[in-house]
Amino acid sequence: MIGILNKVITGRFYKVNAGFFLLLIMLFFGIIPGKQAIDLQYALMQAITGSYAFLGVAMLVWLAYNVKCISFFLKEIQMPENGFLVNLQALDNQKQFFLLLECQAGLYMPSLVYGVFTAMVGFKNHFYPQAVLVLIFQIIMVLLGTYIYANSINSTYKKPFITLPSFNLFSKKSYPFYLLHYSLQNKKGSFIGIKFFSLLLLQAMVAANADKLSKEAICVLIMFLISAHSLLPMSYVSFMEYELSFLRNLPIPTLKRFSVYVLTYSLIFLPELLFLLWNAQQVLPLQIILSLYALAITQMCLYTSLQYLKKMKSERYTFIVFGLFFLNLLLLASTNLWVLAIIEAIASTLLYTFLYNQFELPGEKKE
Amino acid sequence: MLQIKDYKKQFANHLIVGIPSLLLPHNIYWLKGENGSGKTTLIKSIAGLIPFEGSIKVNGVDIHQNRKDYRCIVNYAEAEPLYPGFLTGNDLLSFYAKTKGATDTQVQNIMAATGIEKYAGSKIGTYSSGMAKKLSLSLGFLGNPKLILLDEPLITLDLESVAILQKLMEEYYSQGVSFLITSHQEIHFPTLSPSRLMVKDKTISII
Repeated sequence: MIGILNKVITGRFYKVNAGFFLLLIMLFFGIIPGKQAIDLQYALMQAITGSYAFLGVAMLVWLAYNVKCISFFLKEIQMPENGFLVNLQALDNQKQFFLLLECQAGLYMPSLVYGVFTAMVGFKNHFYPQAVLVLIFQIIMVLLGTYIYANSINSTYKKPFITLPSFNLFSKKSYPFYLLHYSLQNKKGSFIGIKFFSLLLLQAMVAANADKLSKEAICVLIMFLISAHSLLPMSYVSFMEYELSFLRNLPIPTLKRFSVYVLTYSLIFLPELLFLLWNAQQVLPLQIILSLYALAITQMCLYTSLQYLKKMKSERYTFIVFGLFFLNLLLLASTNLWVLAIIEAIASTLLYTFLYNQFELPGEKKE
Repeated sequence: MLQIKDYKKQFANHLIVGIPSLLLPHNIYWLKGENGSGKTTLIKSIAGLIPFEGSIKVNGVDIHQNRKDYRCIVNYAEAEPLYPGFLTGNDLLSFYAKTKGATDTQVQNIMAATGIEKYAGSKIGTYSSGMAKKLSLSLGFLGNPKLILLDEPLITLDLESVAILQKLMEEYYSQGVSFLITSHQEIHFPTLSPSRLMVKDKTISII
């Protein structure tokens, strides 16, 4: 029975995240050649087991990866085409638990393997308490995932523990605000999560370290925050093309369609703009803050236009997001932010205008 | 067979269906009602697919108290089935057989009866809506159900398949399986007469 879970969940997880894993492998083993890469990993594992501070950081990274696995599983089982998995409820608790444990072990495998190797290095270097902690932590991560999966599979008929309230901005929902309503109604959990994370990072790095702040650091942080928002264009285009496919039959000019995205991103990045205006004016001149805001909007517009490329799948998109992140970091040093924003605005508008009418819906929903 | 008590289903504080009390003995039930009256909501509640207030028992088993047994005795085939396109019909038949406790013989018999054996080895992404519907109906008969819920079972089916479905239902009914069907199309059984239920004014009544 694990076969079907491997096809529907585990296999898809690695397929969807192929870009992410490739990047990790490149970072871990691609930059430094041969044996040096292994020595670096060994040194890293020694550092993790040799210091509680490093161990804490490693545990946070493992936890973040586990959150990624769990989020993927929960998202997948809620998809209409995976509704048949509800029949796992027909298994007894023990059988179901071991099946989901196997699935979680498959998803969490990279961290699990790294954790076990780290513990082995710890034992070899006589860091016994840290090595045991690493093993216990890995077991907890696997069990936690399994528990959440079982709970989620078995909860179709149970009332949710927490129900987020609906956010009705306006009683009349007009076309330019469809995407904003979509975020606040259908995707409120992930949307609020992204905004909270974004403002938390800004608070931690800008407001709390105001005395050590540099223009470059804020720019890099903003570029990172833009990348963190990169899932939004994916879900927006999917929403527009699948759930609002009737819009294609309406006489709406292409540029007006595109302006809905521009307006939405302008509103979405308003909290960050206000935050910077309030907290970072001593370090960043007003025109830099405004150019960062413009860059955020145009970059998101570019992500949106890229969604209309043929065969645009999640893994390819992840590659592009990472690529643009690093390219922007390089350009930040030499190019004026306004120039960068204008280039991206022109590119995104041209791409959208050119690709919109050629777009064909793929068979499966992209989300 | 089916016992409903103090059932209430609301969406955003808006009552969809409320049933103070209902007891249905073994039979075939045809659930009628206008579009949006709450037929599918009720059928999904009975299938344990959405949360609800109150209690629903099938043969004395409540899903809140005994999830596994309830899931084994209540089967559900949805109106417009959707499955991952990269799986084959055989993948799903095998999965359902293992979870619902169906034997290989039963799987083979149902496949032969519904005619899905010809394409069960192909990926579902290549199926027409009628083929996917027949697969969904076949899955709905697997295991040892006591109640089979069929949401709009006749849509997208050709006349020959409708006759096969009726025959299968009669066969299962004679073995003690009850059915709750929603359908806008007339259903004729040569030897059986389904009881009619009406979902109207946010509640249910026996016609």
